[in-house]
Amino acid sequence: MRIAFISLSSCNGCQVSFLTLVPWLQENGVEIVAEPFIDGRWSGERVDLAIVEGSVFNEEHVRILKEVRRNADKILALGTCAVYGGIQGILRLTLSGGEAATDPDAPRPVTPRPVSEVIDVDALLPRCPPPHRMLAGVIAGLLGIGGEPERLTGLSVCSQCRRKMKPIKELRFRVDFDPAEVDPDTCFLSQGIICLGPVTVGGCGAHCTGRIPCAGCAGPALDLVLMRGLRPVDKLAHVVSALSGRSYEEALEALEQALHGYLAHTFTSSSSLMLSKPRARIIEYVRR
Amino acid sequence: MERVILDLDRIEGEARIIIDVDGGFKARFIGLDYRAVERIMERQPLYRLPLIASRICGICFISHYIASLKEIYRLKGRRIEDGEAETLEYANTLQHIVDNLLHFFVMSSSDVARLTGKKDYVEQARKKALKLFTEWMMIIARAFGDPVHPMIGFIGSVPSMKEIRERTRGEERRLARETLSLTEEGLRLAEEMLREASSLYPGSNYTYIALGSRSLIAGAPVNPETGETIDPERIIRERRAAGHGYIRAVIHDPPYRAGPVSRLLAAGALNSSTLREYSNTPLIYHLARLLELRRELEMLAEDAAPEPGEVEARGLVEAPRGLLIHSYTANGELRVSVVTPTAINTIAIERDIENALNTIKPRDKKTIEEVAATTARAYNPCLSCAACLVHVRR
Repeated sequence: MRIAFISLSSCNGCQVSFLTLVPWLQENGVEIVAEPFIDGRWSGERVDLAIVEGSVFNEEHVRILKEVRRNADKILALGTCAVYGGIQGILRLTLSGGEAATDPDAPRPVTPRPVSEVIDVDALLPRCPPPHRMLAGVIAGLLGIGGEPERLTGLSVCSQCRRKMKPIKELRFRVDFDPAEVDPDTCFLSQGIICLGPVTVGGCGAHCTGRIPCAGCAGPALDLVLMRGLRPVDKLAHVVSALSGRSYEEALEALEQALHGYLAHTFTSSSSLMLSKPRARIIEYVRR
Repeated sequence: MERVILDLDRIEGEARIIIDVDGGFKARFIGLDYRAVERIMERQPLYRLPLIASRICGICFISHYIASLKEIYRLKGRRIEDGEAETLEYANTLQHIVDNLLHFFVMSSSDVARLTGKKDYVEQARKKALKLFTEWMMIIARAFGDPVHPMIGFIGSVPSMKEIRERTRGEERRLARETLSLTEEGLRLAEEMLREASSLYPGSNYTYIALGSRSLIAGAPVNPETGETIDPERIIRERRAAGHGYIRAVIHDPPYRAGPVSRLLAAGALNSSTLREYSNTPLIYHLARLLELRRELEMLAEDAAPEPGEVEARGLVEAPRGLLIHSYTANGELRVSVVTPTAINTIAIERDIENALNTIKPRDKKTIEEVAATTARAYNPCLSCAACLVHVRR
């Protein structure tokens, strides 16, 4: 079994997570033909599995991806950048390729986008980065070397959050907060602080939400992926409506007022999935 | 042959070195990634800034997180309590350990093997280092919830060292002892590399810059050779957005050098005459990195928590690669400036590539590429960090 790791525009954190699996993979007879930190760049050898991190930003990335598709039996798009464009996906909303070209010796920029919008991939594993045990399971499943591949989960970050949801008394929300003024055991949303936990796919362990609201780094929850018409703010409004006993419309208005001027979906703003949602207010927020 | 274009590998992110060969070697070091992280951060609530900052870099994520958090303490007018400072220093120490292990034994292994001629030995060391790296990442996961992009905490919720010790159960002591023996092997290799190659890879004059303390999170930037304090705002103003791809390089004469060599100078563990003895070579970065690693491991092996003392609320830390500045202003709209060690080192990297090529005078493309890559990698450049900060026309 042969693996290549390919890195595009990213923080390289998924690669660092993958590195922690290298000793285990080698003990299981997997040959790693290219890993950018260890061996340098992949040079086009045939592989059973190519793992791609990062999002597409320039012509060179497009060329590499097409070559990967021709030479890899299976491709895993790894991490939120590869699956949804990552934080740098904001470039799709704010810049055209020409505006970003500052150096004639750098590859020409293209519309920033996730890997799966350039080539077909065989598996998508979002999160920033995915927990390494989850990654190990997916790799093992794709290579057929045992392990339990990660199954689609309908659970959100809230399922692993230790805070308790409580009734919302007043429909007044804010995006920032003073830690001294919040109850450490109560759900942020219940305290009027916008948290993306309900609209973010679970499985990360909810390590952040003990201290700060979820920023959505793992990517959208499954219902948002499956229902094109459902926006994150719509789902948040349903949760707020249920917790406050007020109408969905009232909850939506209160949330949209609070979100105005902020980039709420920081990690997924360049994916066609998110951009295709109706009344995609994220664009207005960014172009303000 | 007029020009050699090298896409540098075994670094973090994407960089290209363009070398004009005719009439003496001239080098340009350019960043190819563009991630606009400063602008992304300007559209966020404050609590998210450390979290987004840690996504600038998947290797020095803790250093970015801490620099950002310290700057938010300043914006909020809050004091960093001693207990919080202790945890932040410990977290940054773990960051330095994993980065130093990864850089010397894994990413630079081809350079070390080529310059010492000990290919098999270096390969064995690389395998050991990868296993230890994995174990250290699991220590970070135990301490802060996740190995990559962990949650260090926010104002008022940074965990205490007592909590951290309960989570790690002292595993870092054992691991530090195991890693020390590999570090000693690395030190021997780095010294051998210096003996063999420092005259071939000479440096020139630099303005060294580091936080003027033994702590990795306390102090203000100084030139350790002169004792002069350097205002971080001046460094922000010295950035230029042209000529280095998507890097906003810091331009200063003589060029700045940040990183482990500067830190050792600041700590008095290295002096200028030793640097001159090794012709100011960039290869001394490898030795400095391992000397720091040994000190950090010895401290953890003895169960001695790092004690930073008074830590000012300001977005300054020593990342593994050098001084890292996060500076935010919030007069109505949030404005974010991030200066990374690689942006600070860019001009020194270019100058050292030219120095080495003009000393060795290689005639074939392969050797030109090897010399340039070895020189640049000695600085442990990170383009994920450095190349995302150019402001472009809206």
